[in-house]
Amino acid sequence: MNRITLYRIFKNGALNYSRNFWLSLAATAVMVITLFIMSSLLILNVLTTISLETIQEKVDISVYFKLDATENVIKQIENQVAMLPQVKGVTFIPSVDAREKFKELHKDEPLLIESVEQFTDAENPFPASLAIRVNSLEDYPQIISVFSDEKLTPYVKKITDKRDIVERLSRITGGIENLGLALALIFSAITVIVMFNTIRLTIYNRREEIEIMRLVGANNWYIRGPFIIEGILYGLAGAIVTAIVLYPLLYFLTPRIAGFLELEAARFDYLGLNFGLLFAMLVVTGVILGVLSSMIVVRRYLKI
Amino acid sequence: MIHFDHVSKEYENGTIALEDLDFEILPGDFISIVGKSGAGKSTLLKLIIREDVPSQGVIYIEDVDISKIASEDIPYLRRKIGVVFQDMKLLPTRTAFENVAYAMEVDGMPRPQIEVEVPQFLGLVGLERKALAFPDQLSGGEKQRVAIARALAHRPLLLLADEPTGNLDNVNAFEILTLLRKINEMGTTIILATHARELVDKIKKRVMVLEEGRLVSDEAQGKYKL
Repeated sequence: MNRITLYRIFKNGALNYSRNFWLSLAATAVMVITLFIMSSLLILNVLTTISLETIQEKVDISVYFKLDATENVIKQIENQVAMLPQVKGVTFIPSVDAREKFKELHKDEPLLIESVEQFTDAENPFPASLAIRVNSLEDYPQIISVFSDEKLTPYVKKITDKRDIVERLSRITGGIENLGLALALIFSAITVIVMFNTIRLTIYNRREEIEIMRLVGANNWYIRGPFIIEGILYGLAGAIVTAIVLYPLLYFLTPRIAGFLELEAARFDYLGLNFGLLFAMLVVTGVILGVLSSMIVVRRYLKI
Repeated sequence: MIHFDHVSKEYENGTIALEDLDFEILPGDFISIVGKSGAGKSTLLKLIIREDVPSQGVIYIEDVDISKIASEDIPYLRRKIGVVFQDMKLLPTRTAFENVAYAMEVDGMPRPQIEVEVPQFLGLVGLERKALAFPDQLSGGEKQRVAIARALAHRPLLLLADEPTGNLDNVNAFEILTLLRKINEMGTTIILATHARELVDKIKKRVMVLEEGRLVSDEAQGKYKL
């Protein structure tokens, strides 16, 4: 195929798009709906994944120590625990901080605060603790078993492990995730079918043109080419319009969602809602859908 | 130029459209093929442009057996043959100019040549002023003339016209006929399929009569008869 033919294929594709304006508009509109639904579902999916991760991260194992365990001992234990491969991080909360935290939590109840303040630092009844965050839920039992070691048990007062909550939460979010994925697949399939049919109808309307082109001696690529260009244009135009609708929406919603999940916005971006990446995905999906639909349909009318 | 060697066409449902056609068409001929609808006129034209293939016999165009042409080379055959139809078959979203230009573009002709030649072809059919009109802004006769201009764009050796006047009134029909004769005088072989008696009688050239797929008469200076 030489350059002039290629140029004419592009020109004819663009000409078809603009001369069949209303048909093109309809196809582009359906493309926008398709891409919008697909990207919304994708974003929703990313959100559920992020929130599940966030929840998991927030839940830790708290090991409370008896009052006679000195800070030195606890620090030693902290170092040991921190070395375990399953452990993501350990935070030491001295008893003083624990008391402050309590006061902060109950600042509206002066009676409680008053009673707590009666203790001097030395007689502080709040136990020091280690907050241990692990990499995955499955590692909980192992970490807990570390503290049933004879050498450690004398110091340990209590271990609270919030596995119950985490497991319940992860079941719920997991359910949402699966349901979301199923819905995403179903809706994507529906919109793709509608999309395909819209393009089919726009070309069906012009099947006589294909016949005419054949009769004046156009070869198959010369006929097919412009329709493929049209498909690309549906995809491109659809992606651009979708982006124009989606970006302001994301721009205003991202900080709110991030705030709600107590996430940093930058991290949120990094997790797949990167605008440039999203646009590239829209364009690629749109163009693939458009071209594929065009090619399948034209094939049917090109049979010799 | 064209040689039908005992050609028959039977459709899959058993209908026999053409039966044992054996004739030759010489360069420069103006041939009218007449017959009632269903007599096989359109099938005959379809066989010539390889829209369909004969079930028996061979069609030679310039000594080439056209059933042996590979499907990717069929467009090249079609570029040697101009075709005009009863329903004009113009691209609705293209202007008169663009319709004619399209036929040249598929051939890979350079733009400057197209710019020069399209107005010439439109001039030949008397439509240079309507170059920028879309088909639905043209009358039936004008559309048919655009179609003829397009058929000429490949400078074909052979022009097939399938009921070109079928949708036109008498005045327009005669104008189209005059145009076809002019094109014939310029050297293009013409095959006209029609059932318009007045036209055929006026041409006074070779007439082939088809009846139920058989060639029942072939006279060098024939008249319309059934």
